[in-house]
Amino acid sequence: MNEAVIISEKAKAKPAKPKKKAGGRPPPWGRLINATLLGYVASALSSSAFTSLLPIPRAEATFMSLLIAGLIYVVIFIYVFAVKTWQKGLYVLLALSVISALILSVTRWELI
Amino acid sequence: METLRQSMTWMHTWTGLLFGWMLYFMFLTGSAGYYDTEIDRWMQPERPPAIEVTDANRVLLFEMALERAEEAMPKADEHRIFLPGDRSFSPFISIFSSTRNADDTVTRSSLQVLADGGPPPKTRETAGGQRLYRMHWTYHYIPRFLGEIIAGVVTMFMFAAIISGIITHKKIFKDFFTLRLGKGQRSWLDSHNIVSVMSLPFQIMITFSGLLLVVTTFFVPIFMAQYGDVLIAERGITPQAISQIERDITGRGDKIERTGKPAPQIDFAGMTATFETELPGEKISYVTVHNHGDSTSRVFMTARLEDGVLRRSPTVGFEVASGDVIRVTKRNVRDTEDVINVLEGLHEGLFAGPILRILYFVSGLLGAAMIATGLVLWTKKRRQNLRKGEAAERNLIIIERINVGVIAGLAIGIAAYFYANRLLPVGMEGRADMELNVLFLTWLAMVVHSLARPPQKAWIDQLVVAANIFMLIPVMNALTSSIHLGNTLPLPGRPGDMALAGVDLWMLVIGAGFAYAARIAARKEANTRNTECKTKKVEKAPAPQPAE
Repeated sequence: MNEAVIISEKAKAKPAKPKKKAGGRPPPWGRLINATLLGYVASALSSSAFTSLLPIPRAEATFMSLLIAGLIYVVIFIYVFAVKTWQKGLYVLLALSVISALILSVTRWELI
Repeated sequence: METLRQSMTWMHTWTGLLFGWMLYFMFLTGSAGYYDTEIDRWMQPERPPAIEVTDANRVLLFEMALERAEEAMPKADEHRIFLPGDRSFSPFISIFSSTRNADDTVTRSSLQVLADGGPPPKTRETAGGQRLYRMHWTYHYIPRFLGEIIAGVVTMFMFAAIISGIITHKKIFKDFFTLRLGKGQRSWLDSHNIVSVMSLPFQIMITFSGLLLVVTTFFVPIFMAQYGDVLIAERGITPQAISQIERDITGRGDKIERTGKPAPQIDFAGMTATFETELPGEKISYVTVHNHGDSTSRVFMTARLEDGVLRRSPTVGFEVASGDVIRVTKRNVRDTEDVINVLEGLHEGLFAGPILRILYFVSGLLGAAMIATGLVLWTKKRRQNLRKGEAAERNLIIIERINVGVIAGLAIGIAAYFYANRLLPVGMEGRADMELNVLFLTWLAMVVHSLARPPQKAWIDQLVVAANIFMLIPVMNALTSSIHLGNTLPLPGRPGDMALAGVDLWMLVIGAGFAYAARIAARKEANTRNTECKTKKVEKAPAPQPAE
């Protein structure tokens, strides 16, 4: 077997590592919209629902919600990007928002 | 399966890139805000000397100001009289009056008076340091409400970028000490890491507290969720519903109606003495007088905000008719609202002395540097990933160029703002707005310039302009006013005015920083050119003949 054949065999066995695409990973628009819009609604509702369950005056609960909403929002951001598909993130955030709204409808909206 | 670190790198890249330019604007103008009152003074060189408030003249000043307030707006619900603070060096006493009308709207008026009760002399109209720092969350050209919403979204992205940046970091401690210069993308990554890690505690604090500052506008749905029953009962967001919610949140009672019976003269001297007994060590900043002249009149003496981190000042309330103390609130954290107040106080840094203020300012600039290096890194990384001979995408080229105009151009715009303050005609109509227009037009011109030039050349051009324009500000100040370094620097036998000198000195330091950056950019450009020349020579040279 001549040298040229050996080299081509090696090349077959170890294909050259493809260079990364110049643009990197595509922009995660689905996740960004999930995090920004749905994350906003879910963090506002869940923080309000949580504090509405605490035995504290409503004004105090409002300030507590304002304080923790930002933290919940950032956790949602991390979750939305860490989850396998953006659709899964969407369902979880929708569920969180609906459960929070149900809690609020009992505690604050007097079942409407 | 993707690890958390990989997903966080993805998130860090995109959250940072999407709002990077806006965040850079917010950090740079926000950092200038730590010297807002100093810039105010610098921008009104004809201001009369500051009022010196002493124990001897405080009561007289309150009495005189209340008389003026009552003349300006008789029988107002409330007159609020502000004495100048230590840092403001204000020559005026500021008075704000307001009356709530029957239809729940509020009529307001404000005026400024000198220590002798006279109107303040005419000074040049300027946007000053106040509007320069306010634009970091109001963005100047858009309604304030919208600005606060945008600021909330952008801040949230920043917060997410910081947290994901921390998770992304494998060696956060090692990166603190690593800076490899002259290694292209690696140097940019090291610079980004070093400025981020160095100022990380500040960045976390400033971002989260920044979010809290706009949280009442940004998270309006929380009020709607918490007060859903009120909104349903009042059939929507009506003025009555808002008023009811406001009363519950602020704990403020209904408006106290005047009885028409006269009240005795307000005993400011006695009240001041009681204030000092109730709140030892505190100094009065402002006095609020409700229903002046009526038997229902009340006076609240409020301590200076800048004497503590908490963004709620201690207050002593008095009933004028009986002279009784009706309320004392001290400088302590009582509830969740105060936790928010402390964080907001940390953000604004009003309590900071000269050294801490420098640290605040430098940390803010490091934040801007963190964003700027991140933006440049994004483009460098994509350039490096290009295959040999492959042309860059159009988007990448545009982002690369706009980066120059945004990063260096904004600094030039801010410097132009200082020039506009001195060079625009003093009596010009709408002068303050024009100063701000100069800032934005200059910035726009820099962005256009950066689009027209290759990035490396545009960097050099704009950094050289920035270095010169900043270093010439003290010269221009000396040519156009008497508050220049020759008069304001403290010398033996002359106290000087470090607040004003500080503005000029900072301009020199910033200018020197840009000069250094311009030198690095020029050297890098020269190296690139040399490498290109050598490569061309090698390509032109005849290929060596293989040996027979």
